[in-house]
Amino acid sequence: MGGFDKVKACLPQNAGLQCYDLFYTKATAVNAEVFRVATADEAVDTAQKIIKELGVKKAASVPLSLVNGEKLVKVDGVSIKLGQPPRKVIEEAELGITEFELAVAETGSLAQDATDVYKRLISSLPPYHLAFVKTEHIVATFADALDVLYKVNGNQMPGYVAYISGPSRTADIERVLAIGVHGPERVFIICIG
Amino acid sequence: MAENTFRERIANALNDAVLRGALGKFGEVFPEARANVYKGIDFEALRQQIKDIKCNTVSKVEELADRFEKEATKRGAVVYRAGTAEDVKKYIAELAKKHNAKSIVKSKSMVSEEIHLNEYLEKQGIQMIETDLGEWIVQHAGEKPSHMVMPAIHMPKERVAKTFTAALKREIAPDIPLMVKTARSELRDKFLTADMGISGANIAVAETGTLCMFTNEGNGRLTATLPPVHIFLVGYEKLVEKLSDVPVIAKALPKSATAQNLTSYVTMITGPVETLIDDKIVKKEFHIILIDNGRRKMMEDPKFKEAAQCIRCASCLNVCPVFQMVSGHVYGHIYTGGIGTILTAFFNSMQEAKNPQNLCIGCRRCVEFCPGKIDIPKLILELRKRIVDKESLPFTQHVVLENVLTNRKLFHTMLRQASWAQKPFSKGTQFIRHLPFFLSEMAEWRSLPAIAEVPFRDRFPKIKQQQATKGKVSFFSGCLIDFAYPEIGESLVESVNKLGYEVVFPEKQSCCGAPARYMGEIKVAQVLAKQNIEALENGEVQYILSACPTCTESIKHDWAELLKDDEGWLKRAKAVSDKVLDYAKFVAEVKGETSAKTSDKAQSKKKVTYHDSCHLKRSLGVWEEPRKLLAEKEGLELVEMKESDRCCGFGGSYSLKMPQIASQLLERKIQNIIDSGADIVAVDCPGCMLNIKGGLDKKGSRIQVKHTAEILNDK
Repeated sequence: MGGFDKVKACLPQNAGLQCYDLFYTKATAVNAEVFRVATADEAVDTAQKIIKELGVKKAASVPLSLVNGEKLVKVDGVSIKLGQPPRKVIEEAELGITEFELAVAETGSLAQDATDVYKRLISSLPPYHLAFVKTEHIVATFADALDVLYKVNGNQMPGYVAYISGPSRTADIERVLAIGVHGPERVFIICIG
Repeated sequence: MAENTFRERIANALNDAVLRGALGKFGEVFPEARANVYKGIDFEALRQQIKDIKCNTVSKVEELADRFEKEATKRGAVVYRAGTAEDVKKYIAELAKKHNAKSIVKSKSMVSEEIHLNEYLEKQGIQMIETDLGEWIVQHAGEKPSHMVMPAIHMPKERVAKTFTAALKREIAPDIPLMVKTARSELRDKFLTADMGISGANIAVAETGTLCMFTNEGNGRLTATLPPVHIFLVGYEKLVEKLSDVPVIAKALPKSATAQNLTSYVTMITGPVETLIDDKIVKKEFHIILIDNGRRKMMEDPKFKEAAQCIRCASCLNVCPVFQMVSGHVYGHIYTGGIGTILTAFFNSMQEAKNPQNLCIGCRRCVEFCPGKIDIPKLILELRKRIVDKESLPFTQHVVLENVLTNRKLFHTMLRQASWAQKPFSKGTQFIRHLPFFLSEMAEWRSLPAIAEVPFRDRFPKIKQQQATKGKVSFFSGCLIDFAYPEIGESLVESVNKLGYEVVFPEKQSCCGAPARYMGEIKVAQVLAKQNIEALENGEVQYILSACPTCTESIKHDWAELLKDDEGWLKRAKAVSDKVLDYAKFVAEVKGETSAKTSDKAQSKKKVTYHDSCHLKRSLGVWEEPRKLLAEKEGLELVEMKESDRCCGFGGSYSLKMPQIASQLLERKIQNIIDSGADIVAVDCPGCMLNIKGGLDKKGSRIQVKHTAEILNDK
């Protein structure tokens, strides 16, 4: 059973489309940019459109199983390294592309087992982050997501669990909100299905 | 910190308009933002859950630490249990030496501040790089954090820009987005080349050996991912037993800390993960330091173990009226505000908590907000008691409390004499405007009430009461009504009598003991509690009424607490406390549901605004009743002032101890009252009355200050 199938088997009953509206509201409230498409092909189209609009030249992506990665990387004038790119490539990338096992409605978060180092580097170093997630994998609560990730990992905590809610932010100077400190300043989420 | 340095710091902070502007603005917007993000969540139930989780930790901290160590070790972490700050510093220095570390990146860790880690390692030639923006700013400004969540909240952007300019040796404009971008680009290389990373944890889960971090900037993720060696600094109080405890704390921490639903990043790390060095995947070396440094002593203390319920959200600082004026640095140590003072007492020493504990005015606002359900003012009083036990109050103060307060006749004789002694200063008015010598500071910023020529106890027998149909109540007047505002007592007796009750006044009642308790003189308070219980025990009365919330609170909660070690007295204290009610609550109860005034025939209505006494609202839970009674009164229109439940700055002896702070609190209250456009301010506490009347008089305002009993008894 592949990773995403295992996740599907562990999802609580109330996960999925019924959680989408709340997820959309909460994620956009924390400045994430959320899209929803019907198919994997449409997801690739949407992602390519975002990449073109951003005008980035260099991007890095983790290996993708939710969409066709080979198709996605074919954007004119943009170098997208797929798989396990060298660290230098990730450091210089303007956009990181990842996929997440789960999303959380009540907090508008993405959630994943990020034990794999590429997942962590590609989602945290570049100034833009684009993530795919299945609409049917949106769970209701923070606790639900933790529960699923724990079960999928054979009833033990993964080495590194990450919840990401919107872009990186700070209010450390005069309590004024500023977006984009050490993590990405824009986060795009494409929900598939 | 010496006493005079402490006073100086307060004076400087109070004169710093920029500081007060920034903190004040935040103080105003925080409660509303926080309330919005908690919408639909049962906060009381949530904080009870957090309290239960943390109490469980306290009850078996050693067991949880063992379990945590075992689980984390199983996953490949190296766990070191450190006793003191010194142990931690040596351990890290040795690790750094072993790895030949030249630079260390840090994501936010208050423990590292507590043990002054940067200074120690820098002396060994290691570059310490704070990566949290607020921490980076205070590090480069050569300061310490003033707030545990927002370390640089005391600095305006212009000062931040100067700090940037000096640190980077090029001109940086005071433009916040620009400074944030600059921090990103300046620190990026440091992350990529650091030899080690150090982080703090918000939660440590015993059953899985997991550490949780709640961060916003992304520096925590980079610190945990990039360098080949990672060290976590974790206090024992961060332990929880179960993984299922994490979502409970996650539900409260970001909401209470920064009014966020969740922080941008929540990271849970269990054992070492991999990093990428020169395109090779390398297993990281992962160390966890569990640090005691006074924590276990605190958790073993029957009273102070409550402080371990803290999840370090700092919402208590954000809502503290004193913190908002003076900021964090006056507290003198790393942990600031009320909770910080308690932590300082254990992590540093009782001696070092001696000055900052005086800053708490006891308004109890923090208690309303604390997601760990900690009664911070109560713990501060306990701290004060232990400091007084050790050092005792200044001699004259102690003599007065011990010998005068506990001798009712002497105390009352002195108050009566004061009525004559003050004559030259009160010039026949209700106020003393100038006082000689050492008392002058008291009257400088507010007029003081004159001691009444005839105290309430001598007036009482002359009040004519109607035949009572419903029963009997005792009246506990308290010192202020007895000797300064006897007219409040008269109004109370008349209005209660009109409701069908006969009022009796037990002659032998004395001071309720609150002032002694607030000064840490517990023995004096115990003697007074016993004297009063004897005076008030009367099987014939249904209720004991008080028109001073501090007295009501003493009778309701404190006498039993003071006498809890003596079974006989405890029983008697409880019997008395069962009967006590504050005036407004009593009237609302016996009047029951009356219809709102339908035919208000009054031609011209007077506007009345209501000031909440801290003790009545937050200790006794009474705030709706007086408003309802006032709104129902003919000829009155109730208008709300801004911040009606913000402390007026009286705080009993606080206004003597911390006059500069108290006077500024009063100033804000007076402004809010004036802005409300009211003709009358209603109060239920003679202490607030003294303070607010004095403040309005100094301003030459014509707004009247009246006790609810006086207003309700008006024809």
